[in-house]
Amino acid sequence: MSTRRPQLQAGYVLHHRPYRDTSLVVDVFTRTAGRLALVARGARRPRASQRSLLQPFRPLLLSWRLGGGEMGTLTAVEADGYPPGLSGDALMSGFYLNELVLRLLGRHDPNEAIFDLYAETLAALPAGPTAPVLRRFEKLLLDGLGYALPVHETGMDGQTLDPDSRYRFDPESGAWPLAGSEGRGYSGRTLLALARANYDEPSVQPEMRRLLAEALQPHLGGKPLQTARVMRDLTRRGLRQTRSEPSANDSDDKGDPS
Amino acid sequence: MIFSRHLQSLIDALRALPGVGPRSAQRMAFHILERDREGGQDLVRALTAALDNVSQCGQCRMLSDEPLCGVCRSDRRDAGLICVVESPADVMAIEQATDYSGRYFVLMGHLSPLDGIGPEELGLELLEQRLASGEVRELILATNPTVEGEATASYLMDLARSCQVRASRIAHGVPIGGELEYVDGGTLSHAFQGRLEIK
Repeated sequence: MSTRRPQLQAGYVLHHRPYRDTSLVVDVFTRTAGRLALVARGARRPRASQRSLLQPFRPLLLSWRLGGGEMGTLTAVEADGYPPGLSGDALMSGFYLNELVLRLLGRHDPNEAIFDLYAETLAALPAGPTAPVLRRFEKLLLDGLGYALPVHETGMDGQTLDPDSRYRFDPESGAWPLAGSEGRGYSGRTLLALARANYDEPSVQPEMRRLLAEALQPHLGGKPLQTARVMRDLTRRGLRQTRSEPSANDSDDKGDPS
Repeated sequence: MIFSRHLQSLIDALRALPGVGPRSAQRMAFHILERDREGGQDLVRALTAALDNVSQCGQCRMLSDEPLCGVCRSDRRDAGLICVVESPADVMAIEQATDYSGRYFVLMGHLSPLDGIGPEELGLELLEQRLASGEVRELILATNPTVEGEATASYLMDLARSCQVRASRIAHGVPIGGELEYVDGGTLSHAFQGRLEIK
């Protein structure tokens, strides 16, 4: 029965919601068991000690018990290091990461590579501009889910990509020279930056964001990302100082730094 | 049906209350019908009156009988101070425990991007208008010390800054009568970061 009662596994809380009168349902993302929903009994009681630990972004060690149903029961939780100290934009970006993981990873489907990517992305968020960190996460998340983008330094016509030419990017096959009627496409510079895993170049940020948003879109099941909408609302009100919002569902490049 | 139909629907209705399961609902229903019919009548009157008359204050979103709540109407409350809280219960708690004499703004929740709760749902437009009016000197942020509460506070700080209003945050720390040893790590580290010079 040991597999039904995992002990002190590394994990994060992605989201929580009230359950019954005094409990919480926490959506957790663990390294060894993937994403799962656990009931934290009594976690909403006034003096519950779990309450302060069961916060998003904090590295935790979780123990739980799986019953017959969809949800397991959280049996113990311990801190596994300090919270990453996210605030402002980095904090919003953290919510965005959580939503991507919630929406794109199935329950009970462990993916250690994505878990490690998630952990290192969270740790990288407070350090500087969030946009390159988010683009890297989106790109590697697609890789880890088995939807790796065919980005190479050569186009489908066999020619090396020209930074100053425009291309159409097909997430299935790759980059094709842009014909006149095919919309705005992407610059060779953007595609090359993505192929070289160079996420920091400011001039390609808006296009890279749009490209990754379009690549994520089909996997999100048609529903728009809530975090992206909330962040747009905040941006519209001028409540965000640096504008480096997440990409998915946001193919509009207006108001972006270039 | 073995039981009275009305009794059953009363039991079902009582279960709408938080913390009331089938057992307690049944106990309450029997109590009202057997022992305290007058109390039951009072309850009906109070409930109807409250549902008909209580709505949100047009200025601070606190629950109120009037279009403007007592705190917003009172000229003894300092209009230059606004304390932002997440729920009406927080207003009650502050009123009972402190001598705060300013006004409030009740968000009725917190920023929760994953649930799609953004600035609109929290009525931040209303708050923005109050800040922009120039009457407010200080915005006191008393959202909960959760990740979502912090996210909310951080955007309220930006809002205050953009309206040139001073923003402050209530302190987080060790509870009175508590023992350091048993205080959770997060609170303790906040308490250390927010330590005050003794004057």
